[in-house]
Parts: sequence; C-alpha cells; structure tokens
Amino acid sequence: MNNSLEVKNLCKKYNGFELKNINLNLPKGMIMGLIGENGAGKTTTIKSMLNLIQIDSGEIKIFGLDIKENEKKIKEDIGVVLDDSFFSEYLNPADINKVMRKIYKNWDEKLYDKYLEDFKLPKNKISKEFSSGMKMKLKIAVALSHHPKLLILDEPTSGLDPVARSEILDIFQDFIQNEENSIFVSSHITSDLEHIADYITFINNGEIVLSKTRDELLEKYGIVKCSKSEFEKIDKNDYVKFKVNRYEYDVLVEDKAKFKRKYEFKIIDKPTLDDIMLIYIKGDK
Amino acid sequence: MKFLSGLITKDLLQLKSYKKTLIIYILIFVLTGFAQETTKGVGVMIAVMLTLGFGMFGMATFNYDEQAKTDRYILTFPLNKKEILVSKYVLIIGSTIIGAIVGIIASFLIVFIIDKQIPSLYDYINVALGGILGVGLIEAIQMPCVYKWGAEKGRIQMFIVAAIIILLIGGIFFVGQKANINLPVNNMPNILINFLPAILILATLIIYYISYRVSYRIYKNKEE
Repeated sequence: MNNSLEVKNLCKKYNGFELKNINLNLPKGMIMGLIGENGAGKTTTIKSMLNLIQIDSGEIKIFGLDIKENEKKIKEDIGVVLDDSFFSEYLNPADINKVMRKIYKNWDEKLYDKYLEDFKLPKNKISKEFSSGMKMKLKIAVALSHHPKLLILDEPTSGLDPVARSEILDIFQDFIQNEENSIFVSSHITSDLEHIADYITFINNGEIVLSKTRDELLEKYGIVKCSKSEFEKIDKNDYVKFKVNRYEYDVLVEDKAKFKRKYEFKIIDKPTLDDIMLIYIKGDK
Repeated sequence: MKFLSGLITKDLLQLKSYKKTLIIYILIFVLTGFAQETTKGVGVMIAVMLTLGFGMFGMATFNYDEQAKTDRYILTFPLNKKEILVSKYVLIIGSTIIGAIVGIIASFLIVFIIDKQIPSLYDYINVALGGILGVGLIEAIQMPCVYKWGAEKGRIQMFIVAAIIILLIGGIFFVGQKANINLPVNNMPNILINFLPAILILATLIIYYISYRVSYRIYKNKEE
C-alpha cells in the first residue's frame, strides 16, 4: 500500500451542484493541495473522504481500506481540521484533553501538552478568548495529538496573518518528515500550497481540471504574454487556455520549453498557482 | 463504552458555563413552589419543575453543538452515528432522572421543614415519575425535531408537533363528549393508583424508545 488516500470516480449530485468523477491518489509521505475557487467542490470532496456525506458512486480508500467498511478503524489514524467546526468555544484546551483521551485509543496527553506549550496556548482559558491564529493552532494541536498517519485539512490557514500561517506550514512540513505521514489540504490561499505541497489538484465546477506535481506545474507550465496578432499565429493545440487582458493576451501553455522551440516568443513567464487557476476559470480556448 | 463517557464529558463541560443559570433557575422554581396554597402543592411544584429544569439543561447542549458546528466535527472521530445518538439520549434521560431525584429530595425536605412531619415519600416519587413522563414526552418529540431541523428550528417544529398532539387528544375528548361516548378515562384512577409507578416508568421508556428510533432514522440519513 503506497497510497495514503485513493479516490476513484467519486460522484455526488446536489441540486445545482455536482462532483463529477473525482480521481485522486495521495502517496505516503506527501502533501497534496486541493485548490479551487469558493463553491468549486473542495469541501464536498473532503466531506466525501470522511464519509460525512453519502456519495452517489465511486470508491474512497484510506490506508488501502474502504472508508465505508472500515470507518472507525481508519478514523483512529486520521487527524482532521475543519474550517468552520470544532468544539464549543466555552471549552478550554484542558477540557478538550479530558474529552479526547476518552475518544482516541492513541491520544497522547504529553504530546498534546507539548503542542500547547509550543503554540503558547493557555490550558485553562476558554477558546472564545483566543485569537483566530490561536484557535487554528488549537485545532491543529488536537488533530496531531493522537499520532495520526494522515491529516485532512480544510482551509487551515484562512483568516490567519502571515506569521501564524508560516508557523502552521512549518508544523505540516515537520509532520511528513518520517515519510510515512501524509497531508491532504484544501486551500484557496495558493501561495501556501506553493510552499509545502508536493502535488496540486485543481478542482473547478465539481471537476478535477488538473492534478500534477507542484514542480511540474510551476516549472513546466508557462504564461505567454503576447498581442492579438501574435496570439492568432499560435496553434490551438499548443496552449491550454488564454485570457484577454486590456493590452495583451495571457496564454497558458503546458510545456513552455516545447513551446519555445516551436514559436519565437521570448518572454514566457513562470506562472503562480493563482495565474493558472485564473486562466483556467476565466479563460477561453 | 469509553466513547460514551467522552461525549457526555464534552456535554457536561460545555454546561459549565450554565452553572449560574442553573442555580438561579433552581432558586426561582423553589420560590415559585411556595406560591402554592397547600404544603403538598409546594412539594409537587418543586419536584416537577426541577425535573423539567434539569431535562431542559440536557437539551441545551444541542445549542452549543449547533453554534460551534460540533456535530460535523464529532463525525470525524472514530465513532459511528449510533454511538453519538446513544450518548445524547443517555445525557438527556440521565439529566431528567437526576432532576427528578433532586426534585424529590428538595420537595421532601421543604415539606418536612414546613409541616414538621415526615411526608409520604410514595406521593413524591409518583409526582417525580409523572414529571419524568411529562418531560420525557417533550424531549421525545424535541429530539427527532432537533435532528431533523437543528436546535433552533427544531424547537419551533417541536411546539408545532406538540400542539398537533394536544389538539388531537383534545379533539378526541371533545368529539367523545359531544357524541356522549363514555371514554374510559373516568374509570382509570383506580388502575392508575395501584400500578402508577410501573405505568409511568413503562410509558416513559416506550416514548424514549420510539423517539430514539425516529431520531436514528433521521440522523442516519442526515448529511453534515
């Protein structure tokens, strides 16, 4: 079993929204970032993985086991951070410890205390009095304290300042150091994923548009900036999508080296994940 | 069963912030009890209201869960929906029983202090059991409503469902009276007096069980 997480042909239909044939593979020891605009299907994908919603068809395997058939066993080894749900804010970190030690077989109080200390979280203060960064750190401390092998994180850095974000990203990097642990993280802050993710999966309108290694995306893809007349000379098969700006065209190409060999464009920019996302969503073919 | 203690611990810890409200509530209802004309009336009122009050505190945990969306978070734990539901019913039934016990002790002591003689414990046990049945009926309707519509909307739906039930029962009696049908209610007291505790306990267990089955059916298919 080399994959921590496998999703095959996942489909889920709602009124007005549909997840269509989602396929994903997250190898052990890796971080996969799921990007996409709000409402693209990131949270629905995560809910499906956690068996929080009933999928219409498809298969989800975690640690090689089907989530539906082995839910409790699998969930002993998963740490989850959800953007909008946690314990009541009237509980303090010490209260949460009292609850979690009765929920998880592997709950490690010493490790939890260590995280609280590292994150400078007071044990006896209710979380209502915490800042957004402290609340997120508490969620992460809880998710990590039963020695999970896989972290599933939904928007773990949203609403945080750059310093808190950087601290949290460091924690994630440390978590995968043993090459056994993996992280599946959804975020619309793509710059965070550019720093930590090994794989990037882009979802748009309930469909996976692309799923590649970060290096492949950021090093191989390119954005050609050209005029209308220059654009008209490009073969349709040689670019992914284009976007018309006020003075120029932004053309997304999959293999900038190959493109450079065929055409005479001198400036082909290295794209950011935001650039790729924007051209995919707003661009034309 | 460790999970059960974990989830109930969570609910009880959440209720910590309710401590002051609970004390104020107890004082108000003990004082309200004294407004009754007879000493027995005082005891009955205190026993019933404390049972009701404690039961309501159990239900208050749903508000905390809804506010923090804890329900969804809990489903990421190594627990299944049946276990989560059982923990809520244990909490609700447990808090009602504790309320009844506190109610019996409080009313027994207060009546003893006022009358300077030992009151009939049997009377107060029956009153408390009646209180549990009444609270149980409210909770039994409220629980599936909360699972179906959430804590806030569920409360409104619960009142609608309860109103329909009251209207239906009232309607049956009204139609019976108008049609001169002799309903067996008038003959019931003798049976009730002989088997009252057993009937009350059985009726309470039945309504909680039906409520649990309905809640489970709703919760099983609910998507978070």
